[in-house]
Amino acid sequence: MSVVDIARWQFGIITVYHFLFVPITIGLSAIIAGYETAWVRTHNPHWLRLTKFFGKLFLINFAIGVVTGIVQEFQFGMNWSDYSRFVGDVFGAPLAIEGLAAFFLESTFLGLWIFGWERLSPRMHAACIWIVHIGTLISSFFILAANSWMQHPVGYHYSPVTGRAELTDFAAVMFNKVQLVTFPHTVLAAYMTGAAFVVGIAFWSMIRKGAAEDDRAMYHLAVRTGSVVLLIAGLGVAFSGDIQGKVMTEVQPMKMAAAEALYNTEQPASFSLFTIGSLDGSKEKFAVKVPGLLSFLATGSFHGKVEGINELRAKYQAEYGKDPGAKYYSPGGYTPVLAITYWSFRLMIGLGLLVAAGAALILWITRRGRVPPKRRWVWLAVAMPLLPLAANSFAWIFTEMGRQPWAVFGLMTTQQAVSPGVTVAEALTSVIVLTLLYAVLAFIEIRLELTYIRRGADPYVEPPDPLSADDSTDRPLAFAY
Amino acid sequence: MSLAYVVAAAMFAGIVIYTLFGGADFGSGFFDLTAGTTATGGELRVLIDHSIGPVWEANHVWLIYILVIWWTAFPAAFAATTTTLFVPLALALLGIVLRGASFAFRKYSATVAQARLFGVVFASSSLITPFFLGAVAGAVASGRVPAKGYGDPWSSWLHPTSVFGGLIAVGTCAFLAGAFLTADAARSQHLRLSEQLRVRTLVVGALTGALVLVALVPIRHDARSLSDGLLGRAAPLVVVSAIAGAATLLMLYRRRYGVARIGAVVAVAAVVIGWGMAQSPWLLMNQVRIDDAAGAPATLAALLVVVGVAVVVVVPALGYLFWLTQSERWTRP
Repeated sequence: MSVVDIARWQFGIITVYHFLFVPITIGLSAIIAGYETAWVRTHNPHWLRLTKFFGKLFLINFAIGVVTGIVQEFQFGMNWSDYSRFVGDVFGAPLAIEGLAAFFLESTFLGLWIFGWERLSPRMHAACIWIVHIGTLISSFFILAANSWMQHPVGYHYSPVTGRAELTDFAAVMFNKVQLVTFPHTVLAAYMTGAAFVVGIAFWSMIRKGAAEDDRAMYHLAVRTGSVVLLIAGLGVAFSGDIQGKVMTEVQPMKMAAAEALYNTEQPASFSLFTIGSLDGSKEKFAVKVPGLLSFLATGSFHGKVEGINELRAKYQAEYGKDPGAKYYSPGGYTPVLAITYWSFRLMIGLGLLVAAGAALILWITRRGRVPPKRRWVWLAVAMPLLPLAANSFAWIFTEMGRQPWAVFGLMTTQQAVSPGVTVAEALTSVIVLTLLYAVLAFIEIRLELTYIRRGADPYVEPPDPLSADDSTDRPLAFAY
Repeated sequence: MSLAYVVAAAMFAGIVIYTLFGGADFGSGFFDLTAGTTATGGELRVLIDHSIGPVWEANHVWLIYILVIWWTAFPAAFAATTTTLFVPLALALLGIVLRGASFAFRKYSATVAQARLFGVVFASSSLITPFFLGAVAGAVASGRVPAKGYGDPWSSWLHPTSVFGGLIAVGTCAFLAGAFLTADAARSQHLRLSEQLRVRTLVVGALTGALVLVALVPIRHDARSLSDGLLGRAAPLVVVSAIAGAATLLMLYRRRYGVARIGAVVAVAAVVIGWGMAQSPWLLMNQVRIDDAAGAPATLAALLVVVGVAVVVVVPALGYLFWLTQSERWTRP
């Protein structure tokens, strides 16, 4: 393995891992804020109990999101120093806002929310979690602006003197057309993820044996509200994803060709639901195809022309030189790893549809206050939170792997981005240590979440008046030690 | 003053603030570690959790602030530092991850045994992290980071300036945390606890002060430019720091905890600012000047706008949070 391989594996592992926590943070904060607002307005104790129950699960999740985010910043300098040098000027500006404004906003108001239960008025307290949520949105906007710049660089000029891309137009970077579709797509997917988290957990808590009647009614509320949020967000994800496909075809046609492993330009182009056999285009393969669908995804018309890999490769070779990736990528260069782009694209869409179907099914089996039997449905409770996490991961794998061999499209290849002086041993040590550490953290995190899920929502206590309360904060259990 | 200097100053302000807030945060781990057994240390550990719980995430955002500005405004120097100081940075990072995660895990752990395990990880990583961050600062300040990066992975930080830098960082963090925790304990009427913390903080403060004095000798030989700067241009700040440090100890001794807090902050801030002055105009000591390292002017300008917006948006909120956590209403017994 080369340093590039190892650095890419590390980036893949720790970024996919980080993004397990991020969408839960974004989506769950919105839902908790909704529950708390409902409590402030209706004084129905169910809403408060749900707020606190999911709030606790949220906090365990948030801490890991924060610490794994810090690793990301370091890794750019350590493994990808040439990339940092090259794009720091451009990439850093949106990241700076993310770090400065949004992240501070999140952590500050989350601090107030955690410790402010008895010290802030209910309205102020609910406002805190809304601000946390807004912080997560601002945060994702700027991070995605940085990523969109890598997909479609704009608003910069290349300075031959410094050998760097330098920012010339901040607004162009912020309102990159890729960004304008990526942001809604990603945030809506995060709402789906947060909602699925709520639905799965509440559904399990509702159907489990021995749940009290009143608790069942409360979880039923969460199941229903979560499912509705999930379905609405799901529609938005599909819609924004469709537009995103067209923008992607325009700026990175190779990625769309790679999503289908389409070797030769077709008009109209069909979309294969799955393929058995090789994707290298040389052999006959068995595939179930929907005529014209790829044309529609790429161009908006069932008769549109979709360029194939061979034509695009010839084009890129004419534009960027014979082969930037000869040393590292497939001999053809300019072509991503097709098996990965092909399958991750399908898994993203398929799993996304599956989770929406799950929510619809749950809405049906819980209609008019029904509580379905546990034995029959427990698998659904387990599947719901996991499916969108997998779909999100495949989506990122698709969009990042589909950009290869570029780190920054048309400007810098992944191979050029890596730190030139890092040795294989150093890179290997760091990826092994981080992976093991992350595995341990995941194990503990999941165990803790499960402990609190099993314990269920705490009973309702009348919230004390913030002005006369004693210090009876949610004392951590383990402080007996 | 050039745009690059303004940005460097904004970044350095982040370093000063991180040293103070992040430092107090890290230092609480020292008191957690030395709190005593399960039976006797519970009260102190609850106090620590209560004091840093609401602010620890915000405190560590300062680190992100520093990294981001450094990376954006001075990309080549950032890459040079991260590639040279790969080892201590990775160890600091490990400490940050373990510390944040185990702090949260401890709070939510289901059994005492679990909580104890996470508590030990939290406390020990609270000591490890500032040590390596201090070592990184020592390497930069003693000119160990070559402009092109890829300095020796070991000798660039295994030398007296870095080692003392790390030790002083650990001592400083504990001293700051001690001053704040003692005041917190006194304000919430935990008198026995505040007495215990007072004694420990006095000891830590005296030891750290002695360490700084001892360190001056090897640093004089190991990092001439830094030493010249500290004893020359930055000498007034070093004096301020020494006086404030001594005053803090006196105030702690006389149980004037509110004032002692201010003294501790001044002592630490003055010495950190002194380091900055001693190192200016070098971004990487004797290797890269601030002006030469700066990125494109448009980036620097954009960055300053961002910093300005952040100050407007964040400072009131953060101030409110600290005001709440440090006020009477928050820390009633």
